[in-house]
This record gives sequence, structure tokens and C-alpha cells, in this order.
Amino acid sequence: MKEIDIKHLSRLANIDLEKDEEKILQKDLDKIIKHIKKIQEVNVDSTPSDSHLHAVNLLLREDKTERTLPVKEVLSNTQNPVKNHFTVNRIVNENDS
Amino acid sequence: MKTILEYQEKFRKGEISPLDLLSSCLERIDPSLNAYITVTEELARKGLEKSTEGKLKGIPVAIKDNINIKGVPTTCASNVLKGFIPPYSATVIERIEKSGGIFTGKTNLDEFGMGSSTERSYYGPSKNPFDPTKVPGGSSGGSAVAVAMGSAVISLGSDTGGSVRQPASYCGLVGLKPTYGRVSRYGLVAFGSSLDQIGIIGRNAEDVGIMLEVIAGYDPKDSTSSEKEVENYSDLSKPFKNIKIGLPEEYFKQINTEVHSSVMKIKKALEKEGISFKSVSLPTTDYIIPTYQVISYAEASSNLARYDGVRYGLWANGENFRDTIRKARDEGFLPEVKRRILVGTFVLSSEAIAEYYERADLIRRLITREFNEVFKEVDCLLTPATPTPAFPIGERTDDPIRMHVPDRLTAGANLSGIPAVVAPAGMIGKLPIGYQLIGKHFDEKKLLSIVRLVEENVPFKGFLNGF
Repeated sequence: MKEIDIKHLSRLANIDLEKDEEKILQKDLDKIIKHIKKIQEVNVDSTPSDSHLHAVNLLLREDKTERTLPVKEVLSNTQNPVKNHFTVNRIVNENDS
Repeated sequence: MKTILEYQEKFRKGEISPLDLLSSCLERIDPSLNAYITVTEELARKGLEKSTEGKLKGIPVAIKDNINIKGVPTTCASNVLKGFIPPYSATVIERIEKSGGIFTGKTNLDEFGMGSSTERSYYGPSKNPFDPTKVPGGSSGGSAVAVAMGSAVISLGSDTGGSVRQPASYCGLVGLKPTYGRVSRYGLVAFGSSLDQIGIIGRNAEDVGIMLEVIAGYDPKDSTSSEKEVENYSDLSKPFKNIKIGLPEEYFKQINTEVHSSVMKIKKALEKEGISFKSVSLPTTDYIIPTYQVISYAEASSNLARYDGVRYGLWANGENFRDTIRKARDEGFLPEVKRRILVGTFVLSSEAIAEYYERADLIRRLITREFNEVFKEVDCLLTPATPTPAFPIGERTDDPIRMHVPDRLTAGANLSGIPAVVAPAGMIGKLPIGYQLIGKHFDEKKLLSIVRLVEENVPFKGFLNGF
């Protein structure tokens, strides 16, 4: 079984886990990976990967300009709008990894 | 409870008004069952004032809380969407409004649709109206309870691995997962984009057909929606001829004996109607759950990466940008969603993608090929909907594998994008149990016609409150 490095995964997934949580999730993840490993039993050598799965083709809408949401509505759900912008913490010159 | 057409007949005759119907529906909301996250009484009353003529004129509809209604909070039963009020409506919502339908509220679910019991909700578990110590199924459990207790005539859910059909089975209702692409997903919060489909939960095949006529059809806002003509899904009076139904042997393993005999009763009733049956085999059935887990978790990890609290939802004031996002996600998601995001991140990581995600994608094609082969011999498949009736609340919450057990019977239709419907097969003790029909792409009308035939021959007697 591949070793699950939960610290690495949680960094990739941008989830800041508490220590206790990390312990529990590590156990769960090992259990889940062991379970999904079952798919290794299936012989997929002759399965074409280019066949279409769904009965629909991608249909793009007509390429013409349409009205979009007004800025005010787009910003209506953010906590800290400044003028017409979303705001986040300062990123430049910051070692946040 | 009557059918949509019967209510509308009563409206026309002046025997009851749409307002009477709405009031009696709202009165039937039992808060102890926790079916709704938000009741939209005011919106419903306003909706009645401007209710246009249409197929759903005056009909109260409940909506799963992962489908956007403009101006009403969408929570997905998650703290991460705290305070989010969508500035637009889903296409299905616009179509229901145009057809005269009104909304009773937003219904409870497992967070982001990830569960089979509606217990994993930030807003607490929903309960089965037939026995409140049991789960109503999930993840569209709130939508099923809303209809079963009579607070709405029909409801919408979403079905990624069985989330409409399994609660329909546990609550004695008809639940349809249409073909992938039959119904626009615009405005449905994404969980597994190649699997998700908006579905319908109602009391009978005709009602479900009416709703499908309203919400189906191409939508320029969803490039995966199909241009295929919308059929007259509610006209189920003329049954199809020379129907042959397959019984996939693998679907009858690992199920409760009473569930087995309930489905056999349905088979017998259909045989009397001249439908023939044939035993068939789908050997990859045992790989449906792990394949579904890999694909849906992978897609979920990608889809849920957008929740950071910056543009909407829970804002966590961290020391720096990364910290702010990580805190919001840690505080916002419940453990099951975190588990799925982490496993999804793992199966997509460079060291594991070939072994897991790419392999699962190939197995998905094998599963689809098997369905296609079987459909050369039969029109559709009859299977149990769930291995058992509703299970006790709390029994599986901490077991990430056991919660997936019912998916074995339902997730194949999602992996292959084909339609499937669940309808009542009878009662086991005081709990309802369903049967399932799985069909070819875009064969919804045939499936609903067969359900209608069953309704005529084996009428379900388990509706609550004499409904």
C-alpha cells in the first residue's frame, strides 16, 4: 500500500487540520485506500480510453455577448469588498508555505 | 395526497385554491424531521401571486439545498457556505417558475451531497417519517422527507451515486435520475461533475414525468446538456409493447431476503402484464463502489477547491493568505467532506494517478460496455433499489466504507450516464422498500411507463397520513 502522507495532502488540499483530526483522518484514509485498491484486480489492458462515456456531445452556446451579473451582485457575498474588488491578505514578500 | 393533475383539476373546478394547497403543505412541515434548512413561505406566497399558467401551476415544490434559487441562501448543508445568497437561479428553477410551480423551501442533505443518510449535515440529521429513529436516506434525504410528510407535492434532488433514488426507496416514493445531459446542471453546486444529475422525487410516475417535461432540455448555460427532443414523459397511458427486462444476477447478491421477495413480487406483476424477463450478468458490479469512490472523490477535490471564503461563504481571518484559506476550509467542512477531498487529492497526485484515477476511468468504461452489451438483449433492468430498508440513525456515521454499501446498486447508472428510477415495492414492517429500473440512454419514458404499470397492478399502500 502506498503510504499516505496526510500532512502533505492537507497542504495540497489547503485544509489546516488540527492534530487530533489528523490522527483520525490518517486512520480513515488508510482504510479507504485499502478499500479502493480493489480496482487493481480488474484487467483493463484491452479497454479503450478514447471511447465516449456519455451520450451527449459538448454543445457550446452561440458566441455572442450576453449580459453578465452586475458588479454589485457579484460582490454581494464577500465579507470585505473594497470598491469593485474582493480583498485578501497581503501576499507579496510573504513566505506562507 | 393527490396527483399534480388532480390538484389542478380541483383548482379549475374551484374546489380548492392553490393557496389552500400551499397552506396545507406548510402546515404539514414537521420540524422534528428536519427536512428543511430554509422554509421559503414568503417566496411561495409571492410565487402564487405571479404564478403563470403552466404544467406546474400552483404546485408546491421543495428544492434540495444545493440548487440555487436567487435571493435564498444556498448552504449545501455546509458551514463553508455560511451567509451565501446566490445572485442567480439554476436553470431548473427558472423553468419551474415559468411553469407556475412555487417553492416551499430548501431541503437538507449530506454536506455537498456526500453521504447516504442525510446525517452528515451541518444543520443536523433529517429523520425518516416512517420511523424517526431511522435515516431517510441520502444525500437528498430532505427532499424525500418533504414529499413523504406532505409538505410538497414533488421535489428536486441531485444524484451523483444514488442520492435521489436511495432516499426515494427508504421513504416510499418514486425517484428518477435522468440520463446525464437530460437536465441542465447550471446552478447545481458541483460535487462530481461527470456523475451529477438533477433528479426528481415524487409520489407517482406521472408527477415525475410532468416535472421532467418541465426541467429537461438543452440549456446554453450547460454545455453537457443534450439537444435531444423533450418527450411527453407524463403521457404513460400507452405502454410499450414486447418489453423484455433483464435481471442482473450480481444485483441480487448481498441483499436482505425480504427485499429480494419484494422485488420478485414486482416481477410477477409485470409478467402478468405480458412483460418477459431474462437473467443477465454484469460481472464488474463488485467494482462499482471503489470505482465510484475514486472518480467522485477526485472530482470533488477539484470542485471543492473553490471554497476559500474570499468571494463568498465563511471568512476566516488568518495571519496570511494561505492561512486564511486553510482556516476557512478546516472550520467550514465536516469530516466526511475532508476525507473525500484528501483521498481525491491523493488519487490525482502524480505518484498515484495512474494506479487509481486513470485505472478507475478505464473500469468505468468497462462497466458502461457491460451495460451496453446487456441492453442489446433487454430493454431495461429490474433490480433492488437498496440492499435493506432504512438503517438506524448513527449506525454508519463513523464508517467511511459502510456508508457506501447501498451505492453498489445505484452508482453504476451514474458511472455510465444512464437513467434509472426507483419506486415503491412494498413495506418491510413499517418501512418502505423500493425496486429499481435501469434503462438505456434517454429511455426515461419507457422506465416511467413500467413504473406506471406497477402502480396500476400493485398500488403502494404505505403513504403517510392517508396521503
